[in-house]
Amino acid sequence: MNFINLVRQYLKHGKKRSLWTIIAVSLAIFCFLLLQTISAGWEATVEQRRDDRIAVWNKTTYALTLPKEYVELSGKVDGVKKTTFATYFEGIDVNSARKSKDFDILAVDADSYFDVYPESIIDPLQLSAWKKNPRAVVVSEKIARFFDYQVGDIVTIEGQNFPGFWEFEIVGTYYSDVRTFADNLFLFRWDYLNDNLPEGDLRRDEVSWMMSLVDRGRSIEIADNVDRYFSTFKIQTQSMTERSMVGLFMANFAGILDVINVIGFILLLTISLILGNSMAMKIRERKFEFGMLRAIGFSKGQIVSFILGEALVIGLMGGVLGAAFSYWIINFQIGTVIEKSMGSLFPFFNVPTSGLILAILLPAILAMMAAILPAFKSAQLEIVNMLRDIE
Amino acid sequence: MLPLRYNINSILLRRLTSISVIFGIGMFVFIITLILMFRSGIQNTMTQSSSPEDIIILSMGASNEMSSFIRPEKIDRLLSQPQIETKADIREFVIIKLFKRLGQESGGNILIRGVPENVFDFRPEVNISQGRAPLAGQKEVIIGKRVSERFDNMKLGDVIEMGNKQFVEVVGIFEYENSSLESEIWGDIDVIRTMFGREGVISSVRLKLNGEKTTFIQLEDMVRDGGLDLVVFRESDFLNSQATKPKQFVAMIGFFFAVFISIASVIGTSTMMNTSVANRKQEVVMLRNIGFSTRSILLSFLIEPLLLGLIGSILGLLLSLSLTTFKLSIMNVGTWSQLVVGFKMTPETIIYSLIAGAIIGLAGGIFPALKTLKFSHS
Repeated sequence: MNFINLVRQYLKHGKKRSLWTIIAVSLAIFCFLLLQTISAGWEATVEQRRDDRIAVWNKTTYALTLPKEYVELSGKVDGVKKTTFATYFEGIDVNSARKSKDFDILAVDADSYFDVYPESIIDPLQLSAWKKNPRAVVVSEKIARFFDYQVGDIVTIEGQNFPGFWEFEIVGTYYSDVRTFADNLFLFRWDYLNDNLPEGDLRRDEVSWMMSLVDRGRSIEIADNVDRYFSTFKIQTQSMTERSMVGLFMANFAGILDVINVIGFILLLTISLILGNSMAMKIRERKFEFGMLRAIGFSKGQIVSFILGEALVIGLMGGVLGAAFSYWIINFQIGTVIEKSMGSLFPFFNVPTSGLILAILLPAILAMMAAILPAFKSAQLEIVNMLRDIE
Repeated sequence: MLPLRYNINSILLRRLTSISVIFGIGMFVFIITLILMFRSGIQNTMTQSSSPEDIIILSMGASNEMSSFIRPEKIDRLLSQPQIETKADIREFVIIKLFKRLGQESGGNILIRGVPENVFDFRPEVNISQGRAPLAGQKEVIIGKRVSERFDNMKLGDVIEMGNKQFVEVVGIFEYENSSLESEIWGDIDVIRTMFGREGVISSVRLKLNGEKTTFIQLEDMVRDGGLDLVVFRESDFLNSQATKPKQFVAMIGFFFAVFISIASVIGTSTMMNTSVANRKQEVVMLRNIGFSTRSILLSFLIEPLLLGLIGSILGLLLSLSLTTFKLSIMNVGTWSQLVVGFKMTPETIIYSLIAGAIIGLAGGIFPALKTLKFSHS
């Protein structure tokens, strides 16, 4: 009988308990992965942002706006290739079927938007339709799918920060291979918004932020140049790379991430407890068998490795089962619901690969750690005592 | 009926099993309690005591103060109508600005509220714990206690930059029933608006209606029919709606956790109790032989996991009590500003957690206990 074979034989002992242990571990692993997915969802929005794009907004606070003429002026700064701009528009589709909407609506410049966001791809015919019609809107394919927007649809949005009912026509959809915030937008034309603002609205001819494509590798220096250029103006700017900006924004969620880490840690403790207890009981029950094995010549080391081998297998199985189950339920069930109803917070809700690897390896490691002490203790016993079957 | 003493002795005897079960259930209860406490913390922070006559007015379509822009003449027109009688009203301006957190590189948005002079009469619950209220027209602010504790350079006497090279002095720190207003900075409305280049803009108006003369329904009708592009809410409804999103998020995560961890805990408890029961076969047979009924033995074997479950719950609750001193700043998605939220222990939470622990204990103990029925005389 070789080593592997013996471990396999032992797994058969108390099969039911092993099975239940594996299920319990996999459920805890699911919760662990759910938390990992939440933090990864936030980290992904930062990581997938580009370094060769800089965001520029009002230095006082990004709740204020910048004059529209800054867009043309920014082109004078050395290293700025192309600038586009956007105004943040809060609104709700009056169609009640889309009440759960959670995507961002931006008023943007049809002429420059897709040049500055080359990762977003749109059919050239739809793009030119967008440029021709002031009421035209393009949405991401994901939103079109989730909320059943079709080219040709007339959509009415009730504005929140811009009061009134705004009527739009969907003329196209775009696709972005970078699955973040950029893939979760409803884009209409800024000039349409601006032309329809009431008299005296302070936001007329103003934009919420500008986005410039710059020379890769010089972006930090160029961001400083932009701020220096506008430093003598009445309204000053704050520029940084898109990635830094999103990172700054995401720091707002740091508090929640702390809670997630605490819960994650407790979950790992729970997993070790379940595994450790299960192993300790198995060892206790099989004291007699180990005594037998010792008596017929197996060494202490071999007994310890049997036990650890079994712990490894149970832990691994729990991890693999948990990872597979989570992958299915998070990516295909919960993920879809969350991306649809909380898309602006979680444009991307999928289990991260690093989490899957952790989920498979951690229970195995924890199981061996939990088993190591009882395993050594049982191996140290005198053979006679082991054979004197006492409960 | 077997004496309770028997169970207690058994728990003390099988120490390893007992401790494992207690810890297992304790951790489950800890996680559940933590989520419940966080939820009550949000509830507690985002809602404050508000009478049915307290009304808030925003611009049409706006669902929070940050996205609301009101023109003063519309409010003048509304309030000048003879049918509307109010006891008091305040007009405020809000905006957010990024500030650095205490002891951290990162920043967070804080809501800045421009308030009129009579704000402290309008909100008598405000308690100025340090310093004084800002004077009208002066570049002075008073800071909510929670902001002051968690952000850099926000103590009494500090000077902070508001607009472009415009500085204000912190002249006071206030408390307000632990509510979200404690996560704000207040200054004179005209000073604040001017610093942000928003002269004349109002974000929201709060009223105390004279309920005997004007009802909320009448006011609502008048606003709708007057073509004023405004919207009115009862303040309590408004505050509840603001708390909905974060509460939903916590509830959803909490739901998955409650379901999956509780199943895992039941399985864990069950496996542990199984061994304990299996080892006590002789004991059970003996109890039967000396005349105890199968039912009383079953009951006794259920009392044991129930006790362990309760002890585990208490352990979990004690652990979570340590959280009550923690504060977290979370993002208030509606206004994009930071809210400092604590973990709040409520009587309901204690009851839910105790029940949850007891149920896990019982559910985990029931299958092993049923096994005692199969042990026959021998």
